[in-house]
Parts: sequence; structure tokens; C-alpha cells
Amino acid sequence: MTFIKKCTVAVSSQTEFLFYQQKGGHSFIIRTALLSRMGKMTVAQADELIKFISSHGEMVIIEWDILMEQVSFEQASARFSEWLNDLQKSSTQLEMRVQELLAMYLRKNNDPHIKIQLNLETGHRNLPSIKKHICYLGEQLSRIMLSFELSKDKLQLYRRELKVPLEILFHGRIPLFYSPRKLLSPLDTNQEQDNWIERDGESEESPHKGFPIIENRHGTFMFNVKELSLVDVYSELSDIGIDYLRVDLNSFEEGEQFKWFEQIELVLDSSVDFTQFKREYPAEIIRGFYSVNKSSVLFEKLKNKFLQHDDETYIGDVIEVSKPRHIAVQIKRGQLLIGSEIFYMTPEGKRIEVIITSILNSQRDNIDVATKGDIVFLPYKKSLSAKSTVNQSY
Amino acid sequence: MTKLWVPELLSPAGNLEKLKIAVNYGANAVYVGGQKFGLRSAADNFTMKELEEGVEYAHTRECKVFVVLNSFLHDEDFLELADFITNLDRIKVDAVIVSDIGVIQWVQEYSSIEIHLSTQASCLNAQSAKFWKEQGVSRVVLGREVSIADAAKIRQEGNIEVELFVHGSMCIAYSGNCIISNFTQGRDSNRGGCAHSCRFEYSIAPKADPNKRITNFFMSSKDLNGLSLLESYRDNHIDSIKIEGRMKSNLHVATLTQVYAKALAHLQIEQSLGETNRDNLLSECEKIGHRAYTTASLISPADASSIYDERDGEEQSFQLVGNILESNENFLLVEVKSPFYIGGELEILSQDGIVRTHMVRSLQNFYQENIEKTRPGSLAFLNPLEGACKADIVRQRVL
Repeated sequence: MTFIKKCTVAVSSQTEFLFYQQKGGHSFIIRTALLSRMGKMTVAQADELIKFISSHGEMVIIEWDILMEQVSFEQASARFSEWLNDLQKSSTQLEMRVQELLAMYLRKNNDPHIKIQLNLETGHRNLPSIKKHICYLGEQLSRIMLSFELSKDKLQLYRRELKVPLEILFHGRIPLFYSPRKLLSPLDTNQEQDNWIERDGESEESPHKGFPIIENRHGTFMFNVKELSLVDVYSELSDIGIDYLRVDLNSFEEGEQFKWFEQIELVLDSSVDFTQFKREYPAEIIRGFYSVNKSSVLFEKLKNKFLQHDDETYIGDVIEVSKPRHIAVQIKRGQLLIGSEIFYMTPEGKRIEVIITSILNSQRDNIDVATKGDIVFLPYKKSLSAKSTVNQSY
Repeated sequence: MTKLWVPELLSPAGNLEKLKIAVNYGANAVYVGGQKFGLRSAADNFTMKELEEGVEYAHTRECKVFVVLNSFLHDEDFLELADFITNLDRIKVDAVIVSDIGVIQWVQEYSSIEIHLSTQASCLNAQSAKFWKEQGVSRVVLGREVSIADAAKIRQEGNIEVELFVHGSMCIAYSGNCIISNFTQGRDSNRGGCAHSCRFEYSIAPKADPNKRITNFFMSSKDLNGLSLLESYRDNHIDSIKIEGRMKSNLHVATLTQVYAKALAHLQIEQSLGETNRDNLLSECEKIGHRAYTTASLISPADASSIYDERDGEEQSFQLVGNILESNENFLLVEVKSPFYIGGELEILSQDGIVRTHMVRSLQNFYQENIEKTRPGSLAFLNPLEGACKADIVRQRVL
């Protein structure tokens, strides 16, 4: 059987821990309702589980990914500090998985000895930013979770450039949205217990159906309709040298969770074809941006490039076209002279060259020169429309 | 009389025209975007030459200019970043608004520009503010989830300037923590490609019972309006109050800037806005397009009443008619943005703070031919109005 190399999983019971440990699980994330977005365990339950895992000599990771306003932060910090002091007495391999600013808090204020796993999945898609965090945490940093929006090329680059252990999401739900507001409970008075509501959402204005949505005490979370799976590129990830792969099947009940974890293993072992796995898996699965991330390409289409002002040539805008009488222009920059050569650029991208033969001001007087701020009336030219730009020819 | 301290008024400026409007209508500072590195890719934004002109225009009127560099940059974006920062330093912008710690480092390396932390970084508590201060940030634009009281605490404990939103559209997610557009539209929401999926209608059902479906705009937020809490902003010494809206219209920028400028001017003299004054200003806020208003989390965490359960179409009692291009004793020359008629009643939102009513008694084109109705994209010559000035905004009641 092929074990997933340094597999990282979240566990919420001794059964889950024993299952994943037997499967070669390397480090075990503990999610509490106090600190974790998807946490359900109380501190007491987590405490017991951590001690159990520690007694088996395995590494425990306490996750803190909740964003907190001042008062909640103060309360959670106080509660956590007390708990951490107690835990460190009995758990030898204990690390924290945090969002960047909480790392600072822990390092400076509480315990500079605890190792930090830094969650940089939100943003942080550039080396200067990641390197800055590495430098800041120094020896205290034990691992970085990279964004699941990075392409293979970027993973290769980051592996070469970053001299710290790296982790990525290997298989699991893609979080899309995190709000502190409770958005589901106002819709439904028949609420589930423990402030935990799960629903499926369908967009009425796009083709996307079946977004898993969860509301709990920390707010509302939405996940992508499709789950991320890099199972079929496992060997590439091994070659790249990604140190830790996270499998997140925690949305399933225990039995299903184990079943699909074993299916993943069978795919890696070539006992099950990936296409078959993909077909049978309960959610659609995608590689996300692993092959390529072109999510900035569409930006160009958000704006009409023909209306963008060119710093070198732009002098003003057409503000009225009176067919077949005149073109009104507002001079925004420089000046316009009788006899000068200009070109209009229409919103459709048509370039129309003209020589200025007449300029009238708003009082209908002929003038020889118009300057910034002036409204002037020029001879009519067909094909022009308001919003066309006026540019100096050179 | 000694004037009371009041916060800085920070207005949005999506392009050079809007910058001038914000400055003329009373902003103490404006925030603008270049052609890259901001979160409003669809806004006109500024070329470097326009930025230079904007900075000069603002500075001669004692208004500061902050430039947004708050998208989450990818490595390739850094290729052009150094040049951009150097140029911003050269033209003397007052600050850059940054969310990425890597960008902060580059700003420090290539310039001496002051750095403000963008709300994109979701700074929510004093410990976080201290961290950013250590990184060289002089001001934090706090997350919209932060109350005025918490903002004061962050300011005091973090020993750092704080900026808090006072008016405008709101992300319902923690800023920077929504990537719906990335996976559903292929547009990176944290690099300016947000498709506003939170404004869509959704049908929601329990997984086990798909037929029990509720259709709702469950993740659309009402708009923030903190005008009625302005005394609290002042008393808690919030350094800067921010109006959202670089994509919004000239009318929007002019109206809100003027409303808040008037309110702050009043609070420099009086402890309170007073009921009548407050009501008048609130009614001005109703004249622009907006969703229903909420105070969101300014007092206590936003609850169900902060959700805007309606299709996203802004209702407004007034519409932008245009702006005055020339005003003299013979005529008002108006660039028309929406139609109006001879005999109609217009309002001139003047830069001196007065709202002037103007009856359209004469309406002509350039050739002095009488016209009955104007059309968008044209110029109209109206009967003159004393006190009206070039660049004043013209509006009319929506029928």
C-alpha cells in the first residue's frame, strides 16, 4: 500500500486518529470550537484527544484560523494561554497552526518556544510576502501552508526559493467565503443544535449549483461546488518536493471519510483508476489552478482599452457630437491649435486623423488656441461618438 | 472660538474628474488607484500623468492623496512595482494603501512614502495593529467588522492611527477572505476582479431535503451609513472616516463628500449635530443611489437586520443630470448625463455648500435653437443662475 507522504489530517476522535495513524498519517490537526472555523470540539474534548495522540508519540497541531475582533480575541487568547500552559506539560510534539497575525501574538506575548505552522492560504501569492513572514518568525516557524491557487510552476519556484517545509491542500473542500455574520439562521427557524447549520446553495444567476454553506458560532462559510483533488498528480508533487500534503475529508461522516481516504490510497497504488475514483466520488473534483492560474487575464476585458488615456498623446474628450454640424471637445491637457494634427480614438477602437481648421468657443467666437479646461466646438467628423478621446498626433 | 478636533474626511476618487469633485466638495483626503495594483480594475483609474495632476490639484487645496496598492500581488506584478512606487514618491503622494506585507517591504525599499494598511488585510484587533506598526505601517484601515469603540481601543493600545469606514457598500465577507469570483468566474477578486457574487440570488436547501428550498439574497449586505454616529467617531478620536465608492458616480462622490464635510464642520463647533441638522443631512444621503442603510458593526456585531434581501438595484430619489462646464451671466453650459425638459426643476449642488433650485426657463443648443428635451451625451445651454459655478453638480428628482 502507498502511504501519502507526510499526510496531514484533522481528527476529531480517537477512532479517526487511530485510523489515520495506521494509514501513515504524519501530523494531526485539532480543531476546537474556540479557535477553529470548522471546529466542533470543546476545549475539554480536544484536551483529552491531544493527550491521547501525544501518548502515541505523534505530533499534534492546534489550529487557530478564526479572525477575531478585539473582545473575542482577548477572551480567546486568555482561555487559550491557560490551556496551552497545561498542554505543554504533557504533550511533547505540539505545534500551532495560525494565520499570520496570531503568530505574532503568540511569539511576542506568550510562548516563544512553541513551533508555528503559518497559514498563508489567503493571499500571499508572491515570494517577497512569504519570505518576509519566514524572516519574521525565524526559528519558530516549522511549516508554511501555501495557497491552493498556486500553479505547478509556482510550486516549483517556491520550493526552490523557500527553505522551510511546505504544505498544500491535496484533497478536500475549497473554502470560498468567510463572513462573521450569521447568514443562514435568519432563513430558517428550525435550526440544528450546537449552532451548526449546513445547507446547499444554488446561484440563481450563474450555473453553479450545490455550494456547501455552513453557519456556526463564528459566522458563515461557503465552499466551492467542486472539491480540489491533486491525487492524480501525486508523483509530480513528490518530485517538486512539497513536504506535507493535507487531506481534508472532514465534511464526511466517519465511515465515509475512511472509505474515501482508502480510495485515494488505492488510486496512488494504481489499484483504482483515477477516472473511476473521480466518477464515484460524491462531489465533482477539479485540480483548481494547479495547471495554470490565469485569473488576471479577464481584467483586460473589464475596461475599454481604447478609452484609456495615453499620457503622451491625450488632450481631451469628445463630449457632444452634433451630426452633421460639430464635435464638442473638453480640453483636459495641453492645448489645441488651429492647423494642428490630431486623432480621435473611438470607443470601438477606430482612429480618425484630422487637421484642425476651425475652433469655436462656447460664445461661438472663432479662436486660434484652446487650453486646458476650455469647451470648444470643432468641425464635424463622421463615425465619432461622445466618449471618444482626442489625441495629439506627433 | 477654539474649534473641536474632528476626523479627517477621506473620499473616493475613481478618476481625475472625481478627484476634483471630492476636493471641491470638502474632502480632506482622497484615495485613488493607478492602472494596476488596486482592487477596482473596472474603474477608470489614473495614469501617472493624471495622478501627478491630481496630486498637484489636491495639494494646492490642502487635500491629501492616498494611492491604493492593495491587491494581493502575484510575483510577476512586482516587475513593474518598483517603477510605480518610485514615481509615486516623485509626485509626492501622501501615502499608499497596502495589504500585502511584501509590497510594504518594496515601498520601504523604493520610497519614503507613508504606508497605510488596507482593510483587505482585515486588521481587527490591537495585537494585529501592533504587528503592522512593527512592519512600518503608520495607519490601519480597520475591517468593517470593527466597532467604533474597538477602533478607539486599537488606536490607543496599538499606538497607531486608525481609519474606519463611515459610508458605502460593504463586503459581507471579511475583506480578502472571499474568492468566489476566482473559482466561479475565473476572476481574481483580490486583484480587482470581484464579480459581486454576494449580490446574487441563491436558493438554499438542506442537503437532506432539497425540496425545502428558500430563495433569497442571503449574502448581500445593506450599505453602511454612519452619519448618525459621527459624534462617536469624533469622541473616540477615529483619525479618519472613509467613504467607499471609487466606482460610484460624480453625484455620489459630491453628495456624500458634501454631507460629511458639512457634518464635520458643524461638529468642530458644536458637541452634537442636532436633530434638524442630522435629519437634513440624512435626507441628502437618500438622494443618491443606495441599498437600504445599516450601521453594520459600528455599535455591535452586524445581525440579520444588516442583510439586504432584495435584488441589487439601487433606488434613488434624485438622479445626476450633469455637471456645469461654464457659468456666466448669459448661460449655464451643462454636460448632460440624463435627460431633462424645458420647464423642469433642477437642483445645483454647489461647491459652496448651498443647494440651489433652478427652473429651466430657457433650453438651447450651441446654435441658440430652442430644444424641449436634452439627451445624454449632449451639451445644453440653460438660463443663467447666480452663484452657480463651473464643475457644480446638477441633479433632478426622479419622477
